Amino acid sequence: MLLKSIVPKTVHARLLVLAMLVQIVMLAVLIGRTSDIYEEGLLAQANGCIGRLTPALEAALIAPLLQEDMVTVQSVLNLASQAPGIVYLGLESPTGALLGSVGWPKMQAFPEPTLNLTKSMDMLNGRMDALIPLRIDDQNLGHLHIGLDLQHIKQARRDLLWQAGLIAMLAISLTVISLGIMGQLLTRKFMRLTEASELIARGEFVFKPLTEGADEVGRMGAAFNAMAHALQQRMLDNEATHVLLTHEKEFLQVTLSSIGDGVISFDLEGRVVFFNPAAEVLTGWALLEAKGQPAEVVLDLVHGDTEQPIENPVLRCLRERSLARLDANALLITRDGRRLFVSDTVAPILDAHGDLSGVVLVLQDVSTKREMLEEMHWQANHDSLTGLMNRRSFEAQLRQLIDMEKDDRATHADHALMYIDLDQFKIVNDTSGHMAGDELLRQVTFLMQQTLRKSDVFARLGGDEFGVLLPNCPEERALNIGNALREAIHDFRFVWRDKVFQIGVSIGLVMLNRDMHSTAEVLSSADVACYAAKEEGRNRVHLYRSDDTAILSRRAQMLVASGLREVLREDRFLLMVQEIHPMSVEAKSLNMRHFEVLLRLRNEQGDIMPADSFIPAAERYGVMPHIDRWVIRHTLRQAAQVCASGRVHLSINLSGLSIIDPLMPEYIRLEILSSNIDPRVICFEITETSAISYLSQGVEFMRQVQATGCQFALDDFGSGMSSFGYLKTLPVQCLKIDGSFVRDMLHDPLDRTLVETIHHIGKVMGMKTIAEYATSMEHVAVLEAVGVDFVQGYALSRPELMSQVFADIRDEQALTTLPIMTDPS
Amino acid sequence: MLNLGLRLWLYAVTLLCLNGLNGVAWADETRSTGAQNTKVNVPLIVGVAPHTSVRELIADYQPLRHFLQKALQRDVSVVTAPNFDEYLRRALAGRYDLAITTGHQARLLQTDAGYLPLVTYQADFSGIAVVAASGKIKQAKDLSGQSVANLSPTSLVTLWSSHWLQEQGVVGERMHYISASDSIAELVLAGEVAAGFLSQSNYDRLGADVRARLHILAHSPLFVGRVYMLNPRLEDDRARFLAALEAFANAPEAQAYFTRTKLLGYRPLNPGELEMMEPYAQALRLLLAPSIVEKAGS
Repeated sequence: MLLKSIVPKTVHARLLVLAMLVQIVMLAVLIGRTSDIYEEGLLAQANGCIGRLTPALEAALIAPLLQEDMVTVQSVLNLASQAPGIVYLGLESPTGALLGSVGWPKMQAFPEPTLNLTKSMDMLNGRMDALIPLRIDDQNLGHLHIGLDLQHIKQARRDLLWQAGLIAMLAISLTVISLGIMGQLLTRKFMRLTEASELIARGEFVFKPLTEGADEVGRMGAAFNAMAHALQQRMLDNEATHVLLTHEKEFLQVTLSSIGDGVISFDLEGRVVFFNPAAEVLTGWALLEAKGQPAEVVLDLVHGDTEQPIENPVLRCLRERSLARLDANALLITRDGRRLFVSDTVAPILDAHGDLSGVVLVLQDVSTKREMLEEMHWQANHDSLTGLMNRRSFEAQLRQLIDMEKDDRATHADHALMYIDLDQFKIVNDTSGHMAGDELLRQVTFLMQQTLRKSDVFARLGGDEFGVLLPNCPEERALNIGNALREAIHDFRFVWRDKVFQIGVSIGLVMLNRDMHSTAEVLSSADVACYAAKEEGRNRVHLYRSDDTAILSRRAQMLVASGLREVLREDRFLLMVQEIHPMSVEAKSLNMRHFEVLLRLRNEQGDIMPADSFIPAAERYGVMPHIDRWVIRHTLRQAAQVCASGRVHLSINLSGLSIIDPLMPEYIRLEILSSNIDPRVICFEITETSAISYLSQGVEFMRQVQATGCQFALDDFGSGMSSFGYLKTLPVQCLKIDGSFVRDMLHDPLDRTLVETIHHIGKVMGMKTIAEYATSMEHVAVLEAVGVDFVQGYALSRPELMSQVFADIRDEQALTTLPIMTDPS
Repeated sequence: MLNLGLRLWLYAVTLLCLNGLNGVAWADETRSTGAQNTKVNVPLIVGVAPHTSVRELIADYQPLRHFLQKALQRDVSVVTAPNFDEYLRRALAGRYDLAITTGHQARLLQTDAGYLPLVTYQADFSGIAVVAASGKIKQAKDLSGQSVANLSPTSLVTLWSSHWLQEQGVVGERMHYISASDSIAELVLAGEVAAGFLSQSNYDRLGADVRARLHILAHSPLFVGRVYMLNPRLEDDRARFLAALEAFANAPEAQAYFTRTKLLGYRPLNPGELEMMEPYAQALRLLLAPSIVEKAGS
């Protein structure tokens, strides 16, 4: 307590007292030590004085001592005693007899010699006593007593202490003054700091900034100013943040009130804390009524199908402390009795420490959504035009039936599948438009539904193709149903505006057996059977049997089609050309040679196979576009040199599938560019049937290819029973008269008339005409008489290897201009 | 001629006066040093006549001192006196236990103070007169009216020189007394004095270069050398002293000493040998008596 009362109250005073204490202690130590050192130095000096005096006295005394000349001894002592600082001198014989003395009472014993010269000056009593033995060799001649005055040393020490004390007092005074001034300066800044801090504590930032500088206080002032500025900025930011948070809170409340989803929060006991308006509408509970109610009261949830109560997700979330979702088929029974399909998400609310403080539930009425999903699901599995199952759904049903049969071998049941293709549908569609076609499909669908059993699965597989799955249906019954369908369709008359159409169906029937393992296999068999029905004359039911000739042929085609891809990879196709000869004067005047490019296949045995052995299969199974590309590429590469003269004209056949290939025009353009062939010497032949079948795409295709400079010929014209009116829309430059007319024209006047008519129409439309199948010179003569521009046939030229022909042409160095060509095959 | 009793009384008075002048109570051997109040071993005092400088004399006799300390089992101090007269007075006063001095003083000590002769050096003692070799003094007569140097008025050489100068008809010479023989040679060479008198042994101890520049003008007759005289109070120990001296003479350090000083060794005194020095002893008595009286009166 005493110490506490002594310690000054202010830092300034404490620093002052502490500094003074330290300085006093240090000065005391310094002065004391300096005095000691000084005293030691003086003593050493005194000792040295004795040391210097001793040899002189010895030198002066030894001789008279040996001579026992005491008068001289006394004289020497008297003389030596006149040296500064000598108090007394005394000489004793070895036996202690006084031989001479000066400055010391004769009857008084000499003092003990001063043994410790480092002891305090005060203890030495102001005098140093020394005893010097006098010897020559080891002969003891006596002892010399010397008394040396140390008073001047004591005086010097007193002077030193006095001066040092004065300097110390001066130093302490200066320290007190300087520390006082500095402390005043320092504490003044601290006082300002204190006042500024108090102002800041009251939230007032109106104070004069503290003085800044390079020293510690200046840096502290700078730091305080920066801190005050930062604090003020922070307060302003906090205010702005507070305003922003208030706005955001209002915004969130408005948002919660505005959103369509119900938002309900619950406390840890599962009781309602908050309801937004959407939740009020969904549950039928008002917020004020619902607040504090248990979750299971305001959320009466049952299963959508069974209406059995389901576990409340709020309680599950509280229990498991993790996200919880409702069953997808959950039904909310509202307070007013409505039944709503709902989905919800319940999430735990965690505080800053990660502890659970409640849960929030987001509730959504998904009744409408469920209806939309069901609608989408229906559309995904049904044909929008007829309302029947689509192919995907039908295949799923078929797969299910096949799997069921595999799983349950014990109870085998007969099942059948029908593949139905409408005959003459294309004619209705082409002649009366798509609307007529669609209406026809709807009516035929309705008609067939009346005939089928309720348990049968009826689907539209695409275009004019339908499929019927007949579960538990023996073969005979299935045939009966198929025939009933066929007859119903056959008896049906479709009326569209002023036209009446009679249509038929070709039905392929397959009985499912255990050897059929996949839907593709079953559908393929049915397709083959349907094709067989068409081949047999349409409007009939063909039952699929594995040993059926027609079926085998069809199968063979499939095998061929699959083998064609291998042929393509192995480049086993052969290109041949058959020359097309000019007949008319105009054609001959062109002075060009014309060739039709023909395709052959070298089988694995090395035999060359004709085109009709693989083209139908390639067309039916979609390989033809690939073959067409192969032919275009290889023809253009081989012909690049012979076509360079512009005197060779080539005709290349294109299949119907290539016409509808959107990438084919660009492929042709790039190949022509890379071969550097003049496109005007290239003519593409398209059959009339293909052109009519894909009329709109065909016209667009021909326009795009013609833009590159190529020409088009309409092949097999007249065989498709088409209207000549199409010719006006097709941008072709040549008509190639169907070979069947030419073949029989010598004996059949009708065929000759058709040839003449077609030639006449071609001329009227400004087209070149080509007649193929000229197997005899008689044919050639008649055709020349008709006026056909070009003739092609065995009577004039047979097909030859392209490479050989082009080699010959290069050798001849002369090319003949040829017009359009005909496929003799 | 004073009788023995009177002489002893005179000597005693002289010594008392000297003691009073010097303030030394030589007899008070028990005075404390002041630092320690204990009795000390009273040393045997060997007094050597000051025939040369103090340090040289003390150095010469250190081997003897050491030997005697060991042989006699007591401390031994070698002392001398400021001059021959003082030496003789102290010896007569019984100051020395063993006095080593010239033959005429030995005779005086024998006759007047009862000292017992022990031994003398084998080498005889003689005095010489030296002049500067390059000087103008070629014969004794040249010294008339000149300054001459001697050691002490009572030394044997001085007594002989006075007698010789008188015999050579030298007149008007001015006698100067010098404390050391080497100093005499220097004075002669420096021309301060025309001639100097010193013992043959002291002459031999001069440096060769000094001797080369000196010329011996005359030799004295051969005298007995310095004699070791034992204080009569130690008469009972005379045999021990003789044995000790004989043993010392055979010791290596004594041989070196004898060789260096050309003293050759000790020998007993021949019968009547000291008595032959009686004329010089008598002269000594006559010379000493006034000073003793003068000092005793003061």
